[in-house]
Amino acid sequence: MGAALAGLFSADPPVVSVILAEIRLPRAILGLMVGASLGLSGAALQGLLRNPLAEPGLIGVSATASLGAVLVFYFGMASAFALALPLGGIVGALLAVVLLYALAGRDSSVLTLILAGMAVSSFAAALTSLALNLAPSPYAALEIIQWLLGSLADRSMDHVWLILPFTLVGWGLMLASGRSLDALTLGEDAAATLGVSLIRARAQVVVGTALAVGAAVSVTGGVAFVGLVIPHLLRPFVGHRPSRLLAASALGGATLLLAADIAVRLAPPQPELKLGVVTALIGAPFFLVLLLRNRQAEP
Amino acid sequence: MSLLALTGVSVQLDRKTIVHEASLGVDPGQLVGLVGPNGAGKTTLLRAAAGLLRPLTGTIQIGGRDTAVLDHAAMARAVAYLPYGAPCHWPMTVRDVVALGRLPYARFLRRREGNDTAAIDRAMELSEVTGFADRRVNTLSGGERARVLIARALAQGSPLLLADEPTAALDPFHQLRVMEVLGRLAAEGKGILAVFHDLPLAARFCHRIAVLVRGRIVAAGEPADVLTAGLIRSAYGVEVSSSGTFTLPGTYAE
Repeated sequence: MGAALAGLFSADPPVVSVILAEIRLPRAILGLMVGASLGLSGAALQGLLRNPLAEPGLIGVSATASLGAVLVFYFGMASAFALALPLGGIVGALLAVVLLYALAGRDSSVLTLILAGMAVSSFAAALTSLALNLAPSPYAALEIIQWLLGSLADRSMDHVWLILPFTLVGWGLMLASGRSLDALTLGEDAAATLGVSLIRARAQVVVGTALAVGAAVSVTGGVAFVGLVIPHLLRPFVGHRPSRLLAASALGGATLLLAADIAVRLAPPQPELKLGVVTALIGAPFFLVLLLRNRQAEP
Repeated sequence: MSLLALTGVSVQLDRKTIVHEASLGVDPGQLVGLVGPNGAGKTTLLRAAAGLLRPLTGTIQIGGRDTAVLDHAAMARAVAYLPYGAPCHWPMTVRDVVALGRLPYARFLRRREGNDTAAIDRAMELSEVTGFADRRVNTLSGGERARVLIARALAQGSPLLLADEPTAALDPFHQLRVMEVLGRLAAEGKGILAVFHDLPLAARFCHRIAVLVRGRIVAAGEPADVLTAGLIRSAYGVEVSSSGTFTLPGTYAE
């Protein structure tokens, strides 16, 4: 390890240094960024929708970002130039926001937003299946499926630089919504009479999620449940205050994803388990427990 | 100068006129009760007064200024609104919930200041919630919770308070506690407009009563002058028996 670090700064770096800089470092940085985006957007959406079960998948951003990336695969553009895939994902996520606002309107209720999100989500999933169905060759279909499983393996610093601006703007928008999310604790009417602009709060969270999660999904594929689980685990530690949960969930998400990625890298199974498979395996039962506990809380 | 002045206000929801040319005023030190049957438009009228709905016609003045020209921040300092059912979605501590009332005074990255803390303490004292300041709101009884949300509205420091059924779903003991708090606020010079369904309770504590029937204010004034047997019969469709209870027409009270 010491030799690898020292080698980073020499003119002719040894192989261990190249592995560290070219393979491990981008993988770790992407893990931290994607985890932070997922945790932060989960916390922001839960605050906005006042629903502990909300997460980026709920408003259709994950599904449309996936669709964007899958279309890039389908039309064979992924091999044409390296950054086609992330760009496809980000365009897909932004399209989700446009559709969401067209379906739900600018000042619609939370319920309409959730329903519109579900509609967008289902339609994107249907189109993704269609792309698989019409895939030109079994090999192309396999490539799409492998990507959909979600992974941080074999990513480069180019990916980091590409998603960095979208991610930072997304984080900024979501972190700026803290005060409004606190006010929304008292319901939309009381929040509005506390001087909060509901239209602006909704735009900050939804557009922020689209940018950060769209960018994240486009380089990692589907990594589910981090946005749901992390805010939940951390909420009691910040006194249940939505504004304080934002930064905490970003840090928590980053930590969880980095740890999960190291685990799949070191775990024995070959081929390597996909990160998205592992988070879903842990996340889905957790989601079920949440649902059951919620039902007990409000009969 | 009155804190709230509605003049000929009509409000539409989904192109249906809910409130017809209502005129109503609240002065400093007054607790004004808004009563009327279900679906009369009481909540709609209150939400319009809070700036949540734009009136179709007429003017709404708060502190002498037209709400059409007031921005979000100015409205937040002038009027506090307590929605029906005292919603509080996250189980925060009582003190944190009351502190939400200071949001209109918050600036980006500014820490809470001395006068914020003073306003929060004072609001908790007036609403008698200081004793359980560190409990989580989800562990409180309905009556305690109602007072916490009143304290939240008080912490906002606005001279006018609009409350949608602050005594809903409370037992008689907690109803009286809430009414006492509202009465004390009026005595301190605040103006309060609140929706009530318990007519005897409203008559006992309110300085003035306005009766809304099918979107129109059919009577307004001192409780004793307004809440007559004839008006209650025409507004609610119930008879007032000699013992003061309400009965359906054609039946007799024992």
